[in-house]
Amino acid sequence: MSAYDVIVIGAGSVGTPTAYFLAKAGIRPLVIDSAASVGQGASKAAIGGVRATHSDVAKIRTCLASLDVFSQWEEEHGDNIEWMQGGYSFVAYRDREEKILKDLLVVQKAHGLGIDWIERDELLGMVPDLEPNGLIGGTFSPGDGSASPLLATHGFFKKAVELGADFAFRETVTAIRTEGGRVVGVTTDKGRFDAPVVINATGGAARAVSQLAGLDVPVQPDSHEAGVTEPVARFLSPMIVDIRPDVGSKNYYFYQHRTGQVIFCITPDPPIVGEDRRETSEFLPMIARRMVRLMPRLRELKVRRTWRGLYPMTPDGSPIVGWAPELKGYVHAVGMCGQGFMLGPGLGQLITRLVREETTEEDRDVLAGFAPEREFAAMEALK
Amino acid sequence: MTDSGRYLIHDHPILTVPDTGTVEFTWAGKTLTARRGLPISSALFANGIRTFGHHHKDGSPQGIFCANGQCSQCSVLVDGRPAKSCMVLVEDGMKVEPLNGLPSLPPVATVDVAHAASPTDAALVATASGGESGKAADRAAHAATTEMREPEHRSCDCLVIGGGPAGLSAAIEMGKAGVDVLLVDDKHALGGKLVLQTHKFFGSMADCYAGMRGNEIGHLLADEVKTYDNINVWTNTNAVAVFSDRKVGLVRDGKDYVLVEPKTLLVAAGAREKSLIFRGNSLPGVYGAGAFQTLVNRDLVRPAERLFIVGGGNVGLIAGYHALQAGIDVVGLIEALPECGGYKVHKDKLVRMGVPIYTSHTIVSANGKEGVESVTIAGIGPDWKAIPGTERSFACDTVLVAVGLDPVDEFYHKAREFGMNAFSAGDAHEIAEASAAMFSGRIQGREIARSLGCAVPDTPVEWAAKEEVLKSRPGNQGREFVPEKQEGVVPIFHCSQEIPCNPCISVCPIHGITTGDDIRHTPKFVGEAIGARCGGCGQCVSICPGLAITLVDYRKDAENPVVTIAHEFGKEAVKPGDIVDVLDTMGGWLGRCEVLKVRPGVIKLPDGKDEPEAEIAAIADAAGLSDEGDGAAERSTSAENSDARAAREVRAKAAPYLMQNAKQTYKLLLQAPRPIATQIAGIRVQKRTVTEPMDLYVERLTDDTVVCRCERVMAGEIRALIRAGCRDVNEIKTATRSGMGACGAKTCGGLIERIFAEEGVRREDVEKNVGRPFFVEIPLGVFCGVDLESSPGNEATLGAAPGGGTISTVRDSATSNVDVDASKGSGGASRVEAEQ
Repeated sequence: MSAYDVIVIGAGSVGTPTAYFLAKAGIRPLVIDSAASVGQGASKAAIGGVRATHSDVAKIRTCLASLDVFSQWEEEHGDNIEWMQGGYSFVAYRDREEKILKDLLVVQKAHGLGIDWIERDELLGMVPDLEPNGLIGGTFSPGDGSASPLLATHGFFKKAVELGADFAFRETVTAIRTEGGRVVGVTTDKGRFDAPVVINATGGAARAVSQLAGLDVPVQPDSHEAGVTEPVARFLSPMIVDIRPDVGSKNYYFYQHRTGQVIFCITPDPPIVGEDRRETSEFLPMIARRMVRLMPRLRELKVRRTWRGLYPMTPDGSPIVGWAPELKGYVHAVGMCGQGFMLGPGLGQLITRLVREETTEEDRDVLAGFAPEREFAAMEALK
Repeated sequence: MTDSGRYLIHDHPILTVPDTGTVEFTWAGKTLTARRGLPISSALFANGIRTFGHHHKDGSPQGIFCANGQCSQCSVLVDGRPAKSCMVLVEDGMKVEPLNGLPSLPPVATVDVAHAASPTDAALVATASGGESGKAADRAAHAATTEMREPEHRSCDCLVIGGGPAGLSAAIEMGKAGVDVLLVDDKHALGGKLVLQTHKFFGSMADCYAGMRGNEIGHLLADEVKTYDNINVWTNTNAVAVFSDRKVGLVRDGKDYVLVEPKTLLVAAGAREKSLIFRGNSLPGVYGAGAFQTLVNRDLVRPAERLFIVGGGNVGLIAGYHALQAGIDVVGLIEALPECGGYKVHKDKLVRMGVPIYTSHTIVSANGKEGVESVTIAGIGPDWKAIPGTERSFACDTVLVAVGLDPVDEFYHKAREFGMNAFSAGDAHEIAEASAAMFSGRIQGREIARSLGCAVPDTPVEWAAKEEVLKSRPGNQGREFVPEKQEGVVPIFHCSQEIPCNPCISVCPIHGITTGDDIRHTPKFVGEAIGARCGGCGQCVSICPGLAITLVDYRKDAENPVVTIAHEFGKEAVKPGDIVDVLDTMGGWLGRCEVLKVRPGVIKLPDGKDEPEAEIAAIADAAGLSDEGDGAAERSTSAENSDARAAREVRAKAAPYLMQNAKQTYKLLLQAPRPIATQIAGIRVQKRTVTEPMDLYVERLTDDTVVCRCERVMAGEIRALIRAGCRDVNEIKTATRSGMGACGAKTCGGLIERIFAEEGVRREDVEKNVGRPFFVEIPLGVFCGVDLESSPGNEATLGAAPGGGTISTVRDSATSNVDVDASKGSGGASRVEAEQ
């Protein structure tokens, strides 16, 4: 039996940077994951987009912090995580989308975000391969970007280990032990570990893991499919997001990664609820049609690989992060709704301050937005 | 006449060089010619060009590796567009350029209706909605109306992936049973790797066409498949993925995406070659036997002048023989084990033609800058490491790596995982000889038909036994059997290792040859015991796949008998009157003899009265089936009759091929002194000077050894991760990108396993790579049915865009997007989703 300051369950997009920031702050964490290595769940299924241009303050602040971490990582650690600041562009071909985006812009600008409306011709100047016919314009947020979820999560892992964090792979938590309304540690299929703080960062399995502590969190995963192409010379800078609905799908988005590969993903409609991550035959014809319509030049771009990843959804589309009110020492860091990668580093810092009881005024605003005890009612406009 | 096309083979002892005319194309601005019908890669090889570009990551030279459409390393620019050179046929006027760095995505001109700049553009727009004609306008209109197609959906009783020996044999059985079969193969012609095999096959004539050349068997099976109306054959069709909704994605002719929902799936996709980790292993000029045979035997180009072979299994040994037949010097062959794993007759054939075989040796490095210039080998010590000081270097331009095969079984495992009724056959099931693959296919074909509820004859119990026998590894090595009597005509069998092979028995008109009760036993001449004399017809000499039978004829001059040996280097290679070096089975020099005559081989066909039944019984005995109970014996008997019939059918089909191919195996009649006559197994083909080592040990030019060729990941990076505790192939992928390239870990997968093993990690402790679609890279446009008119590789339309011009299309895509009712779905009008 070993004693740690904190046990993090889940070595993914949230658990791994959290372990890194905890270790950096001198707190000794143990990260437990049933996979054989770091980031093997939803983390490696993420396509790598990182933006702060959300519509609620909690996500905006968290992702601004993440952007700092991602954009400075290489300089700070000499570790290439394939960060690229290409920006995001949400495009509009119809009045309906134009209105949604412009309405949102008001909120985003109010939060001081670097995002603007770009008229058609200027947008075509920036993204010349967009289908020009019918294009009205779009938003552009130059501060947003992308990184490799594979390399970034692995980078956090390596640094966390260097700073003294322990990782137990191929180990499954079977019980969360409590005494007198406080968490005292966990039992796994291989042993027992004591710690006064346990953080649930288990993505799609969040609900089942919380139930081990007698708690319930409203997290239900659904799945999205994504793909990556061959690398080609750079022809595209920002992440392109098309929010028009179509038969079988809602929005889709793609960008040219720093490696020159285009990475793309689509939101199925209706959602495919559940944890099935096996490949389906419907995905590619569906997204290829939409991507090639939007950007005809993509038709000769060769698809290399596809995969399916889980979006651990909450009823209102916002994460659930913070101390569990019912159980002392237990931290929820779940329900990332498909944005765990971009939220992860910011949350890692936040959770570290939470555990050290050093939260700021701003942090408390953020934590209010992510509060486990909140009413899950309103749906965010642009999660 | 320029040098252009000087590495084309114009004359081959076995293969007929097709007269398809000449194609003129350019490479990096220089005009070159090649034989029409060649893929670009072979057209370049025909002109001595073996480096096709440089990797975008480290500028390392790139060239042919798989020659099979799988690895993408032979990519070039064709009229400005990237393409796998091994999969696209060269055309007149094609502008081919090296691919240095990342390719540019070809631009597509779109006409901006709102900003139509010229009357032409306006006309295009008008035409798109049904106006006047005009070529460009037509095309634009065409593009607008047939802009996108949904994938075709279809179903069938059985989808067979792979048209090689196993897939074809299975399809024939299903053809007979009336199963609705769709058979797909990614090549332009059926036959799989059989079409690359110019040597005669082993096994028995009655069961698996022994004595026929592999390419002939391929044609024969393909022809038979085509006689069944219920078998649909799609060549040039890639199976690209098996999906969890039990559909299989196919890409037909590089452009049509088809989703098939089969009731059963047979994966007969063959094997892929293993690779090795050594310095310089990714230099152009290092590739596998399959690639080599494709270049030489399918495309008839001479890809090398001086070849060095790594691996003494049948694949490496046979490739060496094919090289010699194509006029390529074979500098040497190394085998890590103390003895070659391939059939001894294959090895003997090479050795006595003058190819040195270094056993207990390993490759240290392939050396060169833009391609292979030399190879360095070393002896292996008891610790399985190279012994310092034993390094030797040989000048060569090509290193052929033939170190074993892995099944291509991804689709089978995916299909099983997804609950499909899936089967596998041939190498995709278990690596073995093609003859065994045919049995495996037959058995699975009947099995599938039965599972579909078709009435099929019971599978003869012997089939499984035969498959097992044909799979058997070479057995005991005996002494060569030399008859004591030295009079009349005496057949000598330089065949002393137990392998499943007996066509000599079948062709002997006096039934004087036997392998006893097991096809794997070595043959003996027992003429005297049955009161018959060898008449010296030489049919056994002509049919022996190992070229291991000679006749010694004492009748004219007992002191200087006439020795008949088989020789497959064409009519002109050796002429009467030539004095040749004669060698024994092991390549030992015996002396010099005069060639008296050169005659084409002859095979007369058996009269049908010989006993396939006896062979079957022998095989059944060998497999221990005769010990079974009465019931089994009964089944065996009834099956035997149908099997005997089947055997006769097989022979009848093989007959024309056998008669024809015998002519390519020339009989050399030599006069030899009595003491060495029975020892002569062949003549030296290659001069000694070819195989001499270089004076100097060539210093290695690179320190890193590449594991993942696509992403240029070095062994050291992977080793460091493993030493840091990594036990997950997926983590290696995550951290190094190894396996994330175009080929999808097809080559590095096995190499990473090896590094784990070298580091002392047990196999069961290593988390396996998660397999994902797609098997090969596919353009996005294929999935939505866009005409990729100007893409290379689309033969039907290649001519449509000469010079690689791009096509103008008129689109109104923005308005053609389906406007889904905003109230649909749970989120309401303002709901838009997250992205990451």
